[in-house]
Amino acid sequence: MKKFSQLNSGVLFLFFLSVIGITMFTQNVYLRAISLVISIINACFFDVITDYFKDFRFYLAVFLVITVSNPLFVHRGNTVLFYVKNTPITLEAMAYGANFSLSMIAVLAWFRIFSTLMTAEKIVEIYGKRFATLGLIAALTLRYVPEFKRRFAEIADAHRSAGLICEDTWFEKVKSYLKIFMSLAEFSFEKSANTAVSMNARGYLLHKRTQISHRKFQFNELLVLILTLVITVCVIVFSLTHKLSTSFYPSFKTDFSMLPTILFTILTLIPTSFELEDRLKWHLSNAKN
Amino acid sequence: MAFIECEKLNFSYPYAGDKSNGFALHDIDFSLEQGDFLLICGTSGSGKSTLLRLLKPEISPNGRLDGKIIYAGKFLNDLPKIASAAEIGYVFQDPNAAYVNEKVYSELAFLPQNLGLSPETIELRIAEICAFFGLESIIGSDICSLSGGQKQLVNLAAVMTAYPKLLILDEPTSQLDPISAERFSDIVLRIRREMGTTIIISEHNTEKFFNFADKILYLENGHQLAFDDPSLFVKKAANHDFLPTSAKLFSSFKLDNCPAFTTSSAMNFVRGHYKNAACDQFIESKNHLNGDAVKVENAYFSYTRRGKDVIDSLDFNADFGRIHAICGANGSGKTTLFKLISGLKTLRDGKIYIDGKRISSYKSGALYRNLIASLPQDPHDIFICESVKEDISTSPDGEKYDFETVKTFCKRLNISEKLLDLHPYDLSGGEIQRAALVKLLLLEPKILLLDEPTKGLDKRCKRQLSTLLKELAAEGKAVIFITHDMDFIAETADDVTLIFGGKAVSSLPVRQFIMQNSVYTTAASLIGRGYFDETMTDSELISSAVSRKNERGDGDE
Repeated sequence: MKKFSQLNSGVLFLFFLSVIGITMFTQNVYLRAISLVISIINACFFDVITDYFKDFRFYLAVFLVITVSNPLFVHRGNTVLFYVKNTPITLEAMAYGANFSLSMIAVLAWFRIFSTLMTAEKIVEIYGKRFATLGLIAALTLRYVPEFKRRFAEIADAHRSAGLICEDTWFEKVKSYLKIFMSLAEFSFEKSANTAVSMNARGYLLHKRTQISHRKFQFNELLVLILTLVITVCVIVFSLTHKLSTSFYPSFKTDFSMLPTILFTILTLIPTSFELEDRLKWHLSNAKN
Repeated sequence: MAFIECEKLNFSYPYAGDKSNGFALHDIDFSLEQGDFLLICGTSGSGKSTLLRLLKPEISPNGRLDGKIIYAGKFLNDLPKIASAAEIGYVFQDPNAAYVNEKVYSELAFLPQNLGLSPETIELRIAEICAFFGLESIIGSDICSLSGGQKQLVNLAAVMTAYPKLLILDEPTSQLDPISAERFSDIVLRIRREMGTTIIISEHNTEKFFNFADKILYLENGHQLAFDDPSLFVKKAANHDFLPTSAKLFSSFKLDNCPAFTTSSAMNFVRGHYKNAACDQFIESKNHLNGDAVKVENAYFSYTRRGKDVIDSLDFNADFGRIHAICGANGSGKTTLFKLISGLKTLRDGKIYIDGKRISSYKSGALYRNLIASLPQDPHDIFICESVKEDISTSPDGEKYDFETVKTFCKRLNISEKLLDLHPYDLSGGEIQRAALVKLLLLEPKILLLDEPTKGLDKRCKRQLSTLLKELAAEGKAVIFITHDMDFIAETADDVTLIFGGKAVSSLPVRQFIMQNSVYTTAASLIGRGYFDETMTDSELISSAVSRKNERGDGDE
């Protein structure tokens, strides 16, 4: 059993697409709550959230902002809590805000896990054999991004200490930064020409390029893929047949369907199960030593 | 049968009139056996890169080629493309441009992938090359996070994955600091020793390779002036700039059997032929500078709040009318000190005075108007226009300078009219540096800062730069530069400061600095120590050695 991050990148991509999609587009309160709780658990497990205090504070801030701002703009709902300058602040509006913010936080957490797992190499892997050139272009782009960031800072320093940056007015500042971009553009043309020469010198496009496929498609990946597809379809079907809707106005009403809820819980727990098994094996093997 | 042969090679670029008679290379003639090590020397523009590129068909320049290049008994042009990619490896000068992938592993796999080798073979090759180069600790790293020296090693390793028969290197260490250059050179020599690869390398700094070369090829203006083994070359040569110090010493004695071209063998030579001379003790001259140009007092700086102090209780003084060199290892804080002096970063604690005033008292931009001008490591950074002429004749405010003034500066810095119409990226390393200096000098700065100005320059350009800096100091400007190049410091600087661990551990007049040190010193100083008074530069060593030639009566060997 491998680590979750080592699964085929296409499978990983579909997994996150479905989890995040379901969290965002189904209004169902139960699904969103499950998504939120498990996404945060996963984020902690995968060491994505390390500074608990800082991150939870951020999420709390997001929650409060959205929950409080929704009733300020939406005044529908039956239960009025209090009035602010003749506009009603209703419980339902607040609940809607809370529901929405929970899904936002869940999506944020899932995205964080996604960006940690999907490294540049994995993104290139998605392109596979068919689109190898596209994959190489993606790799080259990714390799150049940090280089350009570094060069931009260097060029900015060089311009500043050669007196080329003027920050007297906003207009002058923009002009100065435009000059830096022009320097960076010239640099990038030259660099890319040199990289092309280097690629030619190493026989690029002479022969069909071997793809280094690291591992064959394993049972785990197939299982995850099937589960993802099946569960997603199930949730979509239930959602389209109005078995999973939640409405807040005029009063709070929600559906609860056992099957999609349980299935979705299983889906979101897939990364957790991989991680738990990995940790268990590690501790067991360490205990033996 | 020779492995590589060039017979009466003549090459001209399509745009004739660029070089003499339009030819970039005239009558190049040499041959190498398999496993030979050829060192190509010559100033910038002498045709070294052109010749090297002609030996690699995929990147040969367009132009007219007369004569023959023979590789392993066949014409080079008849070599199948796959063989050319696999058997001839080429390492470029710029470590930052050559790599294609993000990770080291992928980069090492690039060439074998292009050759269509099986995945198993590719993995095996990578494992072998990784072991040879010692890249295990960085195999999964991002290449952009590596140092210049590590990047160049990765570039070399990426080429070696095909186990080429011929390895061509075009000034591979010119952009590297001395420690990385040393490490790179060791690996190249090890490749030659253990793999039997034929190696052709061009370098300005020949200190490391000269001793190990089988043959030296000397080019000037596209002409082949010499092709000999090192001993014969040294005997015939007339103190060429690019020779290592030991070779220059032996050359001036026209020895028949030269001992090895290393500093220690030169020291042995001196020991055996000259009488010991007591060296004058230096008078302790601390605080000889008053810091009227730049004064740094008790400075502290770190890049992040919890990070280590990169500048830790540092004091520094630089005066007007003097040239001050700053040296130190990578990571010692030299570049940070430069950024602090040029106002790009702010101190956490301590004071900096520029021209007598606190640096914080200068309003935004005022520091760079007629006060400080800084030449970056890559002079291209400060060019933004399509032509050099347009760029240097426009002031930062957008106004045009008086063209006569511009022309005077150009003449003084040896920039011909032809160069002015070119695009900045079409100029060579020395040319763009001089053009950048014109641009900065037109701002009439009082303090000139230069960040590693000798990177990639040949000795002739370095001498020109040295002369220019001395003229600027004589005009009353303060010149401060960072460098690793001790020979340049010996030729140019008045004062030297050594930075270590964020502190200035030594700040002395140049002669005292060089004579007292054993690592931050010149080869000439080490060779002449105890025998020739106050020898700092190669020319001082040679003239002292020659003038005392008959000391023991057997100066002539």
